[in-house]
Amino acid sequence: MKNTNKDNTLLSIKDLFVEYRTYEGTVKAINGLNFSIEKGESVGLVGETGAGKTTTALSILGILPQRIAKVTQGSIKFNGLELLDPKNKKELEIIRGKRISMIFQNPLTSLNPVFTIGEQIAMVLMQHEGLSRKKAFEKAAITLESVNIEPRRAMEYPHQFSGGMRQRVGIAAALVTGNPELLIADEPTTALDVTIQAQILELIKKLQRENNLSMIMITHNLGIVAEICTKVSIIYSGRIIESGSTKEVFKNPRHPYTIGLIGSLPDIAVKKTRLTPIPGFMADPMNLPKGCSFNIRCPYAQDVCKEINPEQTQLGADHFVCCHFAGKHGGLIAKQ
Amino acid sequence: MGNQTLKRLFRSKFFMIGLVVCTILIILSIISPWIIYYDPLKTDLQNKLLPPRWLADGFKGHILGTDSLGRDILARILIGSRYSFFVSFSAVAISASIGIMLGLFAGYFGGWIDNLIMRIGDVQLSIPNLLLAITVVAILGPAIQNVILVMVLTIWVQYARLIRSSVVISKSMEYVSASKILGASKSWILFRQILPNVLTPCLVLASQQIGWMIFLEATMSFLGMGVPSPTPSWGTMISLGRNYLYIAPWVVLVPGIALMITVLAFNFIGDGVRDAFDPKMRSG
Amino acid sequence: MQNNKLLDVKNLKKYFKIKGKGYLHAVDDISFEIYKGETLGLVGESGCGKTTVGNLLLRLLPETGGSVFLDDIDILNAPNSLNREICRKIQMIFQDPYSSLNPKKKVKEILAEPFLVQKIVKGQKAVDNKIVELCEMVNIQKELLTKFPFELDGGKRQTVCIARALAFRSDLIVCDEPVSSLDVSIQAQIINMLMDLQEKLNMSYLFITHDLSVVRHISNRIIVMYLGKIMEESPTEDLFERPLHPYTKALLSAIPSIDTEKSMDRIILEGDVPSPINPPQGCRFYKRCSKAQPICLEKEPQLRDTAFPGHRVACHFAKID
Repeated sequence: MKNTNKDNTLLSIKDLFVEYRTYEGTVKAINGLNFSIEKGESVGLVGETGAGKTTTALSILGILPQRIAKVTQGSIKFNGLELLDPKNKKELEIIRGKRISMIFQNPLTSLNPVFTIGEQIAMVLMQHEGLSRKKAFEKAAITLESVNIEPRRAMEYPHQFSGGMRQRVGIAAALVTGNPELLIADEPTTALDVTIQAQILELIKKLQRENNLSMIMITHNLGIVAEICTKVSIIYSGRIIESGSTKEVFKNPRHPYTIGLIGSLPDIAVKKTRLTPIPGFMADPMNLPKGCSFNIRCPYAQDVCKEINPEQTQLGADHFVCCHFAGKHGGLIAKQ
Repeated sequence: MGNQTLKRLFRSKFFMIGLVVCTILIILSIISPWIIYYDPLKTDLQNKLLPPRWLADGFKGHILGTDSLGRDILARILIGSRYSFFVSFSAVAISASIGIMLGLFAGYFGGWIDNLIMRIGDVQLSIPNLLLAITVVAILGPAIQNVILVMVLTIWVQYARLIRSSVVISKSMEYVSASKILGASKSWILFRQILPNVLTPCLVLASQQIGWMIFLEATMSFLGMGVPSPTPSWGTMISLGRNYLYIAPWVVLVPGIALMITVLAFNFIGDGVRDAFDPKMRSG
Repeated sequence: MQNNKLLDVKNLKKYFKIKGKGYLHAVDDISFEIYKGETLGLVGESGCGKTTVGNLLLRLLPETGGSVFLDDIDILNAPNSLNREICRKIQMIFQDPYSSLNPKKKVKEILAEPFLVQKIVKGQKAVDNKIVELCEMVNIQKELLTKFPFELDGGKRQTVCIARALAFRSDLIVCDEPVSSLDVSIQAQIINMLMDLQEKLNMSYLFITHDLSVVRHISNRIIVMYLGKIMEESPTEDLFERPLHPYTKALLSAIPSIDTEKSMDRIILEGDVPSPINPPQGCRFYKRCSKAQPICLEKEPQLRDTAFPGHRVACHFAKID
């Protein structure tokens, strides 16, 4: 993707290919992914289960399962530094701990049940920042306050916290060490009630503003993306098939998948009498079809779609799509 | 699930070794009456304590030697294996049946039934099994059914407990609720919905216990609580051969090694089955 | 529509005893009706009691109080002889398609069960015919019949659950979050299927969910629950256009929409959902309500009619005309 100001690019993924090698066959999880995010930007990474969202996140952090996963091609650059280069292993560790943070869908499983919340945050601080025990606990208390948790609750155990509070702790823990520049949030609110979700989204927005964080929000919920992301990238079968500003992509979706996705999801503000699901299923990543991986479900597939995998076409200042017929399906959204 | 598990089983080297050895042993024990040359019960005091001949006389000689009464050791090993296998397989089968039934009731009905069965089980477990063996044999006399009885009393509790905890978990599964709202009776739910789901751990347990039961039987025989002479049993053979350990070690070693190989082979099978069913062992 | 009443729930209560802490008021005195051929949406967040309501209606739990009349049969106090008939009239689609199918049974056996348990037909062939009928209704291919649940994906499993629930052509189907654990691309297919089936078979649904976007599509009327009580009851569109209860307003405003221009002003509720153990007297929503007044803490508001037909609300300060 072209950026007008190259110095502002925080993370840039080019032509990434990632495979999982299993007994049953090779799973082609990521197939030529191109993605970038600038400083202070928030990008939504939207896709169904199996599209490759989590694999992308794990690749950035360098925590793919070692024995099975293999990056066969491509580059991931963070502030210009190539993360996939084994020579940069040391730098990667520092970046992983301090510059890039991740929050997960289910914070309960990432919290140790036998230590109090305060202890866990303090331990991280003592280990990564070399703070003394006293200072670490002080900073832990301040961190909890920044996520709207009363500091005195630092003495409680994870099971005493509700789902929303645990997620806030997860966010606190993600932001507490170093000065993260990039936050990857993997479906952080999927497991939460909608009113709690609203709280968490507000919190994330606030923290992002205060710390000038870049953020990748992985989700399948288009509403959340519309709310807190300025840009959106739609991922399908391991490739970004459409990307651009959220306003533009949701108003003028150009890829048949994006159009189908918007039409198939119930939305609170749009009254539809009938949802239009996308027929069929995502292509088997062990057996990807030739050409465009969406061709088996695409209502507009032509012969060329079954032969050649479309390259990225630029549609507007900031709108990219991977489709041979980009721009020609724009009239569809009006029908719905 | 069956297919994947079988594939995993056959991939395990230890399991395959165990399976092959056990199959050979079982086949040998079944056909033993027809392949032995000497009568295992016939004494021949003139030829007592002959060392193993290692095919020196073809199959006519005492290939593995004779014991203190001149009885052919090879024949006694083979016939003794029938007895070992019969006793241990029966014991496991009967214990599993009783244990599973009791575990099902305890788990599904809970309350006093659960308490009663589990407390009886607790009492059972607190009795050391050799003490139990001595007591049973002292009261009922040494006989093959009493040996099996001792074994059943020793291990039924494990099955009951295993099943019970699985049943308690299954009870709260939504497929059980789905059956209830269709109008299914309690026995339908217990036997047709829950039972198939709780059997797998029992299979693993049973495969691991056969080796132990063979060993337990040998121990009981060694201590004189098994079937009395002249019925050959590996334990008895070891026991009788003790006195001749320095002058005719093969009398003890041969049944000892046979026991070791057999138990090891069954243990390999048990481990293989356990690993094949263990979801965490499934690599990507 | 009054004479078409299918389900009449009155003062239904379910309290759980918690050791050392008192009683958990999961469902606390709720009353509602469902008419033939309609879908009633039951919405609320976790802990509001909606799943417990479903379980009570299916008699999976004993009630603490209240009555449920299904087609004039008092199902909570019915004699055993009516058990079969009641099972045929009301069925349920469970939330988790993974645990609601017996992992050791093939799809064919699962779909045969209703007919075998209720002895509806005799003989293997008759049962097979019934299964084929069910498959046609929900578009299950014959090849799936010999598969085990673990071989199917979430959407197909849920389809099997739906087929099973239709075996008796029940009058009322309780759908407990039927699409919540499914992938988004499958949700639309399942929702459409449920709507088509309802039309074809003239069934009623009690659609339990926390997802207001989904419930808008499928329900004729909606009940909003909070901490075991009904806060608001209304025809669907009326609820979305004119939410009267502060909780409903907050709930609707919290939902992110793709159409950012249309979305309402955010009302962010403070704090967490409180515990339903030993609830205080007065309004359950008091602690998080921006409009709370002292009377809300003293006196519990009852559900009362408003100027809008079919729209009732339990709040001292809701604008009812």
